[in-house]
Parts: sequence; structure tokens; C-alpha cells
Amino acid sequence: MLDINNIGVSFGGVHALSNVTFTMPDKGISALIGPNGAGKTTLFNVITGFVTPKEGSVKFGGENITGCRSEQVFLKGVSRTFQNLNIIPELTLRENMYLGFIGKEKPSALATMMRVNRGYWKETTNRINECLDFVNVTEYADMTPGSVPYGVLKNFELGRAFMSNPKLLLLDEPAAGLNLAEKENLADMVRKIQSMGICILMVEHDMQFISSLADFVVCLNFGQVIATGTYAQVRENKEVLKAYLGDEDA
Amino acid sequence: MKRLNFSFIILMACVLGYIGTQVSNEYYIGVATLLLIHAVNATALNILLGYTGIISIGQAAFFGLGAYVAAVLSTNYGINPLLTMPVAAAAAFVVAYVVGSPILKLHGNYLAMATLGMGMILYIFMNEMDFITGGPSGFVGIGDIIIGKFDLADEKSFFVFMSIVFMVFLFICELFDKSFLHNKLKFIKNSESACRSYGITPARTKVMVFASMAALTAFNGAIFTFYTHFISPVSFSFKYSVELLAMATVGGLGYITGGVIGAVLLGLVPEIFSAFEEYEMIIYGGLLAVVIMFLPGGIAGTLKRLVKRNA
Repeated sequence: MLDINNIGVSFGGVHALSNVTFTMPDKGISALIGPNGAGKTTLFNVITGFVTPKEGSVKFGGENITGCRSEQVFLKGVSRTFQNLNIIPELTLRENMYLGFIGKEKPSALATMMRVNRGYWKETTNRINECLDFVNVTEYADMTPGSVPYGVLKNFELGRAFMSNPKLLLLDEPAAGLNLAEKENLADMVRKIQSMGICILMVEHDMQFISSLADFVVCLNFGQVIATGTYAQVRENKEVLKAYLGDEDA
Repeated sequence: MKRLNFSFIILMACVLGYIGTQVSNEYYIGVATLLLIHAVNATALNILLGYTGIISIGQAAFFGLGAYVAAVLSTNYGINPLLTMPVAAAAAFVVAYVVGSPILKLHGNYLAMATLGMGMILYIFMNEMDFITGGPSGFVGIGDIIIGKFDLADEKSFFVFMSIVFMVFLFICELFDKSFLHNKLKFIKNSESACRSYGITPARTKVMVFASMAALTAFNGAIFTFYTHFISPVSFSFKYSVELLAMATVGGLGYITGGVIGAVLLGLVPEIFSAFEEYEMIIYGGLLAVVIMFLPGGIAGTLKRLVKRNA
């Protein structure tokens, strides 16, 4: 599904990523872990076209998408969420959900204003309702984000990314700031999305959350891949332990 | 899809109908016509700033561009005034598209400075190209709009014409405000990176909105030309851009009603306080400061919140 080959990114003199290479399985849930500053979000930004790598390539479904703009990457079937919620405060969640759909269909401005093509709007409205329902936020649909709990907004972000029927979904710290019950609820939704044949790659710090979901784990440290494999394999890796817990000899 | 809100449109139609039928004082009708012209300009700026997040303090230049294009074409080349309006709009669209493509990559204060610079350059052209524009002395001898056998030479008939243009404009704005297009622009205003990750190209959309609003403002400028029959660069200076910014902000950014409310309130300032003309900018500045500090969302936003609270 996703081939990351020898990716290198530098910001000035700082090497954010060097020689990052791994292949994500065609199915299932994969996780990208590592201490703060390891380069996880930078790698997400490379995959989604926000950062152009200095070297290396990203292949999605066999197609080289290195250097593609983020709009093009989205149209190829890659959708993502961000660490910070990107929800417009003055619009309701229902209206905010439309963002997940608009880029794919691109109705003309005139058609949008004149309300022609009612079939399109009916389909859009149905899809919005379906996604709101899927992430259990229907009861908050007509509220603005300011009056909705944070956990609901995190679910909403997941629903919006799922709205465009992506082939690959990238989740940037989806469980951050959630309580235990909310995390379990989120994990159920992630599994449900994966069961629909959508591949998931997530950046996450919560190891319990990852262990319950991820089939394949990649660990980064100082911009380099230090381990890949199942969660159990990565957890036992000495380099990973050193990255998280420090050197015993030190 | 939201339902259209006809209450404001009907209210405006009633007010304009009342002025058109019951007010006979030509001075008051003239002030009302100018307020409608300001309202269109302020609403166009509101769509730029309040909906899309594009700060422009060069809108007066597009207003002037439209005015001069219409004046030159109708007076020097004898083209029907009604035909000069779309030409003026097209000219402003092209200029705004060419200028907007590079400058809309900027944000915040930098974009404000770039639009200010653009406005100043066009203002200098209006002043210096006196062989076309008449320079600081102005452009004289502009004719009337003639529709069939109706010559819009007197205040009342021009007010009726402007009222019709305004109501059509308001209805289109209402269609825009209740469509998903308005959401798209607010997404861009809120987070361009989020938009890009959802397949929207903010740069292209922003340039189109900037050029479209410039075209609309220029169309309005062409109407202004045939209303005043005389134009000079002073009407299209930096001061008018700031006035428009104040109108949109005081009225309420992000609300279609905001531009109209702001234009009516601040448009009346020079009429009411004509004895204190030199303090006009202080009044604008003071109102702007009060609204920014105490009325976030402007008057329209505050009214909406009050209505919601009491509902």
C-alpha cells in the first residue's frame, strides 16, 4: 500500500528524517511511534505532500507520489487528521463535516449557489448524516464546536477524514487528550473503519492504544527507523527501549 | 442545505420602497443612493475579509478603476453606459487576477501592505495619467444612463435603478451565504493546510474570490460614475478603502447583513457630522475600536447572538 524509500528531510541544518525506509502492509492498522521530535509528524507531512523530501520516494499503491501537492495526494485516496483540531468555530459540526466531501466532488460555484443538481446535494447530505452517525456525533450535529466536549470533536475529526472514502487514512495522535472510555470508543471506530478495507497509519504515544490496534509498528528516533515489526517485536527491541527509557550504562 | 432568510431582503425592499415612494427631498434620496453604493462595496469587502480571510485595503482602487473605465468608454468612445459596466467589471477582474496571483500568497499584515501598495499604485495612475483620466482635476462630462425611453438623470429615477441593482445583489449574496460555497470560503479562512489535505486548492479559490469581488466593486464604480457625472482620484483614495474596512468590521465580518448595516451607519457619519469633517477619521477609528473590543462579530454578530439567546 505505502512504500517509504530512503526519505531524507532537513530543516536548515537539522536532519528531521534520514534514510527512512519501510513498507506498510496492504491491509490492517499500522502505527508510527517514537519519542517527541523523532520525525513522526514530519513523515506524515511528507506522505501527504506538505513537505517535499530532499531525497527518497513515497509510493502509494505502486504510484510515485513524491512531490505531489497535498490536494493531489488527497485525490489519490489519502486522507489525514491533524494533531490540532481544524474545526471552524462559527459553523455547526454538520457544516464542518462538508469539508471532507467538497474537495472530491468540486461542484461549480454557480451550481452551488443556484442549488441546481439536487441529486448531488441529497447524496452529500446523506453521506454527511451517515458519517456523523458512524462516529456517534449525530446528537451534536447542529451545535458549534465551542459547546461540544473535546472527545466528541476528536471523533468528529476521524469521521470527517473518513467522509471522502479514502484508501489510506493517516491519524495524527487520535487518542491524545481522551479518557479511557473515549479511547475504547475510538479504538472500536478505528477497527470498524479498517474492517471496511481502509488502511490506517497512525502516530500515537499511547502504547496501550497501539498494542490493542496495530498489526505493524514502525519506531523512529532522531529521524531514523530503529525498529519495525509487530508490537511485541518492537517492544522487545533494545534500540526502542533505549530510545524511550535511556541507556542503562549512562 | 440552509433555507434562504427572506426577512432581511423583505425589510430592505420595504425600506427602499418607502424611500422611493414617500421621500421627495432630493438630498435625502441622493444620500440613500450613495449608501446603497457603499453597501455593495462594503459587502464585497466583507466576503473577502469576513468569509475568506483576505484583508484588502485597496478596494477603492477597483472602485475607481471601474469608474474610470466606464467614464472613458462612454464619454470618449460613445459606448452605451450599460455596456460599459460589464467591461469595467471584466477589466477589474483581469487586473485583480494578475495582481492577486502573487500577492495572495501573503497573509495578515503582509497581505494588507501588498493590497495597500496595489491601491496606491492605481491611485497614482489615476492622478498621473491625466491624458486619459483628467488627472487631479477629474473627469467631466459623463452622461446619463438611458434605458429605453427612461433617462436616469434625476435623483429619484437613479435611486430606483440603484435599488433594483442592490436588491438583485442582496438576493445573490443571500444565495451565497446559505450555500456550501460560503462554508468552503470559511474553511479556507480557518485553515489553509486543512483545506489542502481535503483536496481544496486555497490559492486558486482565493484568487477567484479576490478577482470576482474586484469585478463587483468595479461594476459598482461604473454605476457611481453615471450617478455623479464627475469623478476624480480623491474619491478612490486610501481613505475610502479604510472607510470600507470600517463599514465591514463595524457592521459585522462574516455576515451579509454586516456590510449593509456598516455602510448605512458609517455612511451617515459624514452627513450627520458634516460640521466636523476633519474629525471624520477619528470617529471611524473610535467606532472601529469600540466594536473590536466590545462587539466581536460587529453589530450583525451581536444582534444574531441576542436573537439566539432570546429564542
